[in-house]
Parts: sequence; structure tokens; C-alpha cells
Amino acid sequence: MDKNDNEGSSCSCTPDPQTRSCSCLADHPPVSEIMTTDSTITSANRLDHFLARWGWKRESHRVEPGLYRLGNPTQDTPVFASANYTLSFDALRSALAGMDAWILVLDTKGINVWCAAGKGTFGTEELVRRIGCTGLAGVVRHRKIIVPQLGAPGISWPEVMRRSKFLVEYGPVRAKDLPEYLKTHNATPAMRRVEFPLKDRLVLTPVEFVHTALAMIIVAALLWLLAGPVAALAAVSAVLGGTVLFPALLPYIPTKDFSTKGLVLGLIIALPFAVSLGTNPTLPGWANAAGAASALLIMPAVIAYFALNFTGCTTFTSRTGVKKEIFRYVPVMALMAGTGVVLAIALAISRLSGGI
Amino acid sequence: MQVCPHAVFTQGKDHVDLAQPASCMECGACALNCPVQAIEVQSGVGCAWAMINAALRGKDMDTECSCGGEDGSCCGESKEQSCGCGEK
Repeated sequence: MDKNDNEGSSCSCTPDPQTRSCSCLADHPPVSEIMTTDSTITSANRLDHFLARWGWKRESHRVEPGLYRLGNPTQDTPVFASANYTLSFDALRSALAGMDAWILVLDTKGINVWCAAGKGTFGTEELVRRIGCTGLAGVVRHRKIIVPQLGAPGISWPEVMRRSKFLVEYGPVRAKDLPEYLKTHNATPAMRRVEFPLKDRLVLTPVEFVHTALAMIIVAALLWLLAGPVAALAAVSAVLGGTVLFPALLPYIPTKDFSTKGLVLGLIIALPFAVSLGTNPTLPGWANAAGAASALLIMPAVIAYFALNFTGCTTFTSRTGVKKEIFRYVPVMALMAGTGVVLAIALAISRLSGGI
Repeated sequence: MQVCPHAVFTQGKDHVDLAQPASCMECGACALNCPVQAIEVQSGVGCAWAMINAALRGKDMDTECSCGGEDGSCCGESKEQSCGCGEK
């Protein structure tokens, strides 16, 4: 795999504008060596997938871009395109178990096919360039390349055809449907559709949680010192509610947009804390009311914000829809959280100064 | 029709019908892959995190970052990722 280093560095992207241009499509294209892979997912691969899911060194889960040989492919064996993200590449090669194939790994900077397509790195330019770099036209006799359907937002097949003479064939959304797809080369409507089942939603939650874990620990520790264990638990619950429970319950929470879904879930999670903070017999009535109100204001706002931010992880939100939601609900969330924080600070000050 | 992940289109008699416009996530795959360039999409990614971050940094919400898809929140932060190797 590492024999490809020279080609890799001359072709891949560097921050230095001087060396940025790639010369693979020049008159004498440097044909890179073909690498070999198999369909086995080893325990090292599984560990890598696990770490990727937990956001550990997020950008380092990469495969060397280039052309790979899987099994014993010939000049007539199909070519499949993939991203150089280990989860993408491993999903493809394991789905092709028992088959012979050529796999063309594009340099997507370690990002999965769909995200990279949205960004354009899994795109016409890189596909055409990689076909040239690897000398694919000399390796296979046919002129067809099977691209995952979710790569389509980055690829223009007429443009690829014009520039590389290769015909893009859009395969199914999921690599696991490939064996079925390859029997007819016709994807069923189900193979073409993106779903977002519980398993797919849950697998995203560790990254979401890890992103906020440090802030959560700091806030919870401060709250424990200033306001006691209930308030600290409220902070932890708000983060877990927003980053884990919300994705899990996404389709079951009534209302359509993410912010109101988050507010509904947040209100439910905040209720027990409001009751607990609002029924302290040693405190005067106004302090109980302020405690309960701050929980009811801050927690739903925080959870709604997490909910809104989950839009980027889903498979169906649109830019205009999310933009509308931001303008409509972020001010509401800010107002709620702000009022809640003011109440909580007032409460803390009067407690610390011995007022109550 | 082939590239749409949300079955927004259905096959009509001599053209394709826009059957489920509300399901559209504005990925732009249809526009890029339409052989007669009949479709126009202001494509982008529906990621609040990216848009809010862009807005906070004083940049354009529509163009600054793209992210989304099945593998986590956002992917526009590192120097390397924002470098335009594939783009001219």
C-alpha cells in the first residue's frame, strides 16, 4: 500500500499553493501502481471503525487513494469508485466478498462519499483525475465505472464522459445491496432511497456526545459547587437528552421541525428537575419558582439547540429549510436560555450572599 | 431519477415529473446529472451547525461550509479539507 507514496504526494492536496496543481493529466501521466486489497474486515479494521465512530482523530481514518485489485480482476471486471475514508472503503470491499473487482479510491481527504460529494471532493474533477492518474483506461477494456449513488451530488456523468470517456453507472445507495444490484445492474427503488433507521441514528450519537462532553463536565462541576447535585445532573441530562435521546427518538417526537421537536423533548426532560428544584421547603416561594423556571427555560433551549444542530447529521434536511428554522427559533432559544440563566444567577447570588 | 436519494421524481410519459418537491433535500445531484440540463438547484447542505458557525465568523451562511450526510456533524474545519485540490 505504501509503495504508492510518490504518486500520492504529488497528486494529493497540499496547503502550499505552489505545489497544489496536479500534473496527472499532463502529456505523460505517471501511472501509479495498482494496490491489492481483500474483503476481510479484520479486528484492526473494527477498532478503526469504532474509533471513527467516537470521533477519535476524525481525519485520520484514511485509505491510500488509487486503484485497488480485489480478488483476481481481469480487463473486463467492473470498476467501483469509493472514498478514501476507511468506513466507506471497508463497506465496499466487504460487500464485494467473493467477487473480483477493481476499486478506484478517490482522494476525499478521509471524508465519506456523501459528505465529500456535497463538498465537491468526491466530484467530477477528482474522478477524472484519478482515472488518469491510475491509468485505468489501460487496465480495463470496458469504459464503465460504478459510482455509489450518494456520490451523485458531486459528479456530473455527462462531464465525466466527455473528459475521460468513462460512463458513470450509479450503483445503489448502500454497498451491501451491490451483490443484488450486480445481477441486473438495475437498482430497485428501495436501493435508490436513503433511509435513516434507528441503527443509523444511534451510530452517530457517540460523536455528537464526545463533541460536548468536556463542556458538559465543566458546567456540571460548576453547577454542583454553586447549586448542588440536582443542577449538575440537569446539565448532564440536557446534554445526553440532546445528543443521544433526541437522535434516537427523532421520528417519534411530534411536530415537524427539529427545534420544536427539541423543545418538546427538553420540556419533558426538564419537568422532573423543575419539580425537584421547585419544591425545596427550606427556600421561600419565589426562590422555588425561580429554580423551577430556570430549569424549564434553560434545559429545553439547550436540547432544542442540540436538536437543531443534528440537522447536519440527518439524511433529509435541506439548506433552505434549516436556514428558515435557524432564523425562526435560535432567537427563541437564546431568549429562553438567557432568561433562565439570569434567574439562576439571581438565585445563586441571593443564596451565596445569605439572603435566603 | 436515478440519482435522487428521496424519490422526488417519478417517470412521466415523455418527461420526468416533480412528484414530491417537499422531500427534496437540495443536494443538487439531479441538476448535475441531468443530460439536458433541465434542472436548476441552489444546492447546499442542511446543516445548522455549519451555517451558525459561518454566521458567527461573519461569513456567508450559504457558501461557507458544507457538511452533512450520514457520518457526523461537520467537515469543514481543517486546513487540509478546505484546500481545493480537486477544484480549480
